[in-house]
Amino acid sequence: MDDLLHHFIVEAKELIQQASDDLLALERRPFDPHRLDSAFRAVHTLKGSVGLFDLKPLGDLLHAAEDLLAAARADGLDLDAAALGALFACLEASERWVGAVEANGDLPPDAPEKADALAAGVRSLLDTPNPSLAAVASRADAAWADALFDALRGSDPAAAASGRPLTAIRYEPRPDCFFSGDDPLGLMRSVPELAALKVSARDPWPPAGSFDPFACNLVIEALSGAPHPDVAAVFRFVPDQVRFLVRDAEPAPAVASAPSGAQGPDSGPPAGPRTVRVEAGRIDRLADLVGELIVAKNALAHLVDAAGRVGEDVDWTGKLAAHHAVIDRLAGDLHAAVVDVRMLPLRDIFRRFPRTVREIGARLGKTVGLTVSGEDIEADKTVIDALSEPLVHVLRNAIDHGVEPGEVRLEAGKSPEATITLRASRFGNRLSIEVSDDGRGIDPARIRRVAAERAVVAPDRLAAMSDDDILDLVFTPGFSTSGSVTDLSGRGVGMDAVRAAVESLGGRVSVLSRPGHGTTVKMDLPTSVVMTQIMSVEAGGRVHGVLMDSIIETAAIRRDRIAPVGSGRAFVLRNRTVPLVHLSALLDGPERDSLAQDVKVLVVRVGSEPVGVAVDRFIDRMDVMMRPMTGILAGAPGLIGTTIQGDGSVLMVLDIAELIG
Amino acid sequence: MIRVLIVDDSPLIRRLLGGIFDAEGDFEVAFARDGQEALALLPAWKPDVVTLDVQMPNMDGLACLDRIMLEHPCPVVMVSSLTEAGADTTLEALDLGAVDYVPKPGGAISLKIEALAPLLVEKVRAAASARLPKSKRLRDRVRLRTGLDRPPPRPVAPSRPSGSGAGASSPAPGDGIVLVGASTGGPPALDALLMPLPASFPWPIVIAQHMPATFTGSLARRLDKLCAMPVSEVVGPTPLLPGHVYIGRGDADIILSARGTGTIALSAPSSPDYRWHPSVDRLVESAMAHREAARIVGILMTGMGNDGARSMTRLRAAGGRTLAEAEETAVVWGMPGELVKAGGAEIVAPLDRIAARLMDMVPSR
Amino acid sequence: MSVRLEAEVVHLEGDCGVEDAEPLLVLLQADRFRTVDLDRVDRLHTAVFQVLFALRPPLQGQSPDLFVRERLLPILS
Repeated sequence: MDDLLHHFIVEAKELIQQASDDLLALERRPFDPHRLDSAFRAVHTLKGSVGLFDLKPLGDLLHAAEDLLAAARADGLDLDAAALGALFACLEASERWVGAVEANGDLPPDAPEKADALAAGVRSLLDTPNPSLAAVASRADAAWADALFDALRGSDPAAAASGRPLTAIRYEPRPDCFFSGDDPLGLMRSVPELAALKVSARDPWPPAGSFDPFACNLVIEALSGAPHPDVAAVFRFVPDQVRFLVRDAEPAPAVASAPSGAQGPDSGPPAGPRTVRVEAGRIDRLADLVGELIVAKNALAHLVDAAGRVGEDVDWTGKLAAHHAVIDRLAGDLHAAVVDVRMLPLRDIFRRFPRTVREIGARLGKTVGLTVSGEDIEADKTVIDALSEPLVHVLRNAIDHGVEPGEVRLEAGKSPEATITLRASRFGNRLSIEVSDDGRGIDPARIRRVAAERAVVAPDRLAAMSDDDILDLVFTPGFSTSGSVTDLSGRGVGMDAVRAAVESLGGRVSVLSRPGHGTTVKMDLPTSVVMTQIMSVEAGGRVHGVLMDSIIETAAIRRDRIAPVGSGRAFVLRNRTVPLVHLSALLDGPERDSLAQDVKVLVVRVGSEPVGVAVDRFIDRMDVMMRPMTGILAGAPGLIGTTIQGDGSVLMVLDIAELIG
Repeated sequence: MIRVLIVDDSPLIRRLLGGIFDAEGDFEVAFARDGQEALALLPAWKPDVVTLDVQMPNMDGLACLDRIMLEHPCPVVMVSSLTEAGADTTLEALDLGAVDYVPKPGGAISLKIEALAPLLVEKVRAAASARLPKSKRLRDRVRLRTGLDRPPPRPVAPSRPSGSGAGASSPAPGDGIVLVGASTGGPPALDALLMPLPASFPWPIVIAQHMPATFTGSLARRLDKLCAMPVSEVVGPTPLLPGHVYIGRGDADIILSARGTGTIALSAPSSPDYRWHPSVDRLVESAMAHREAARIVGILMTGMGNDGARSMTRLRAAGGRTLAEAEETAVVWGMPGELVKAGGAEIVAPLDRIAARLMDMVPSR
Repeated sequence: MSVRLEAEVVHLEGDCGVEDAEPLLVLLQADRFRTVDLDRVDRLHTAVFQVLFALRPPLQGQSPDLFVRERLLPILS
């Protein structure tokens, strides 16, 4: 056990014993100031020690007991039987919990509730208003939310009538909040699915001369389409300044009023601040790495000193390279460790989809089941958070447009119950998510017709497009194939919004359809948006990046070991014949015949097979921030993104597997 | 080796603080469980620094501090809670001769151990080489301990008769501002600066004293009782009046700005561009943006680090007047020392002469 | 500094932090009819927004930032 914690337990037991003895004495002789003093000091010291550890419920409990003893000491508050009873209860609980910490290293799971109850008991004796009771919102308090819903019905009737529960937020930042580093509107920026935002002044503005720009005088009200827990998570550091109210947006009376921390009307998981739980080991790893990084940085300072001394014979290149290598490794490890901390399972968003699907199906009179796989796959929190909305949209589309009504399905020989499959899988640091339905599929002819009607594409180009390209038109802004605009999908935000969301994460989205059998929307995403490892290579006089993940190894193959096989070439690598192509050829560029004896080859995996890709030169490995392809190159096969290099030039990053396949 | 005596009644805290110093490698540590043990240990062990818990059984921290300063004077760093109640006690301790204070670990407002450790080590190291404030006379000590009424401040006259044609140091005309920066050892130094100044002092005085927010209110109330000039803590926008002293709220910065034609002081969220708060540099820079440098007097007093040295050097270069506390009286000659080294100090004066030199620089009212 | 006065137009630029609220206030108090240009604002700290909200100066320009443009500016106009 931690040395400090061990000492704490020993000390805590002594102090609890001391306080108990004092209270027993006070029970017999109520006005003994020495005993009262001693009890106060014991509880005070214990509370101070508790603060060193992560034992908040125990601290809260002792804090309440200390306040009562302090009041007795200072104001001569009588420690009657009720007060002594409450204090004894606190000490008993403290003793039990210290025992639990000794045995299990942590407080029992019910400690927070117990602590609240006991502390409330103590505080009721102190005649101070109970904060948890004061926080209960009365029905009259809901007027602000009514006004918000009314305003939304006026400005965006579709959103107001979507039937999805809306979370109303009333955030009254403390006047001195800027001094604690808060930026309330910055928080509003991170509220998911923000539907309306309203700002007003809490108090009338003072005359110009005494206006204090650093005192916050705003009240912020907003509506969000996201579930209450997701909204509450944004405000986890200011729970005392915000209130929520959840209800359906239908013009119905309030279903429930939910003060901060309470549950929404459909009692999902208990609401509360959402935190990222991190294994202690991962944090330790971070701390170790930062320590090493500091040592490495200090070593650089010595080098700088040496550089200042004239006439010293130093191998600068070598020394700098060595230092660079150390810092490079540490930065890489640190990055990996940080990414690791931010990794969350997809389950966090997949969990609510079965209900979403059931609700949407019920609304449209369709019976739909959802099967989910891959929910244990982890991705960066940014990716997870940003995926929720597009996925809901794709699911809605599948049910609304893809799935046929039951009678039609029966006629087509299908089960009347439709199935939507949500499947996640991971390849290296890419994440793939597929939403498939077994509905009617997309009819390319219909897309052509609609595209022509709406002049989404010029007629001559439209005629020249293949059916696969035609399907891609569903991602064009403003395109909607729904004959009737339903309240679910036909709200102007279509698949173009899904594509934009996915691409902003550095991903791609595509759609596949087999008419009569169903549609699959496939998203291909990075598991983290932070950095991507690439290798830069030169081929045909141009430099390209290749994802490190796709590279199995690099090799130098002697020219005489490369043999013609069929129409191509191949070489043998560890008893396995590996086909060889030149990167320039893949890019339709000139293939320069190098005179070098060895051919430099990237061995990459295509499907399950290794393939050799010859390049002119390996240049460097680097970590880069990838930007997805935009504009005319967005659909170009084999290009996954660009990155800006140190010298300002743009480097294209290739997906070799796709270039070959 | 620095010999540090840790006085604390909690074995846990003793162990925690001892561990922090042990990890440094160049500290020798001894422990005392209360004031009596500490006093018994002092003559034989002769520590370089004592860390003293404010709240202890048998003899409380203040009583112990008083005895230490009287019987075995040595630098003392108080370990105190940063609450409002703790502020008064800690300010009293500084008055009794404690060099500095650190927040008590585990207190209501406390630092995590990782944050406390470097702060504690830095402050104790500085204290080890700090100059002990001159021992207060017994009468003062009795007065401080009993809280009896203080003698009325003794107003000082300018060191030279004003208007005697002193050339370059003749008072700047019109309404000017005095800016004061202080850190470690600051509260008693502020007493010494402000107590002799008359109620008719012609300019406002704005003070950035590095401190937590819970302390500056206490500091202002205490100085207000001691001084002829009214002293207040600046919270919202406050128009500056002649003959008034303004203290910047802790854990934030204090800046000067304009409202209409007048100048105001206001508390601003602490800027991460500055290391210490309230930042002296930010105060001086904001003043120079709104007032002509020639009408600004900058005074930099005792304190660790270098806050204020950069901006006051600029102030002097722009035609302002600057005054640094001399090494012989500064508890820690960090900030004023940096100002002197940068060539930014027009006048260097010991603490008991600063008020008189300031009177030379301002017009009489 | 992200607050700049140019030809009687106050330009807010880039990431406007809490410290920009006071200089903006001083500029607007000196002349309540000065126009504030938001063409190059990326972030608007609440304190800066509050000054605009309380003083309601004439505004011009469209921030490139979606949240500022579509959520905050409508409240100010």
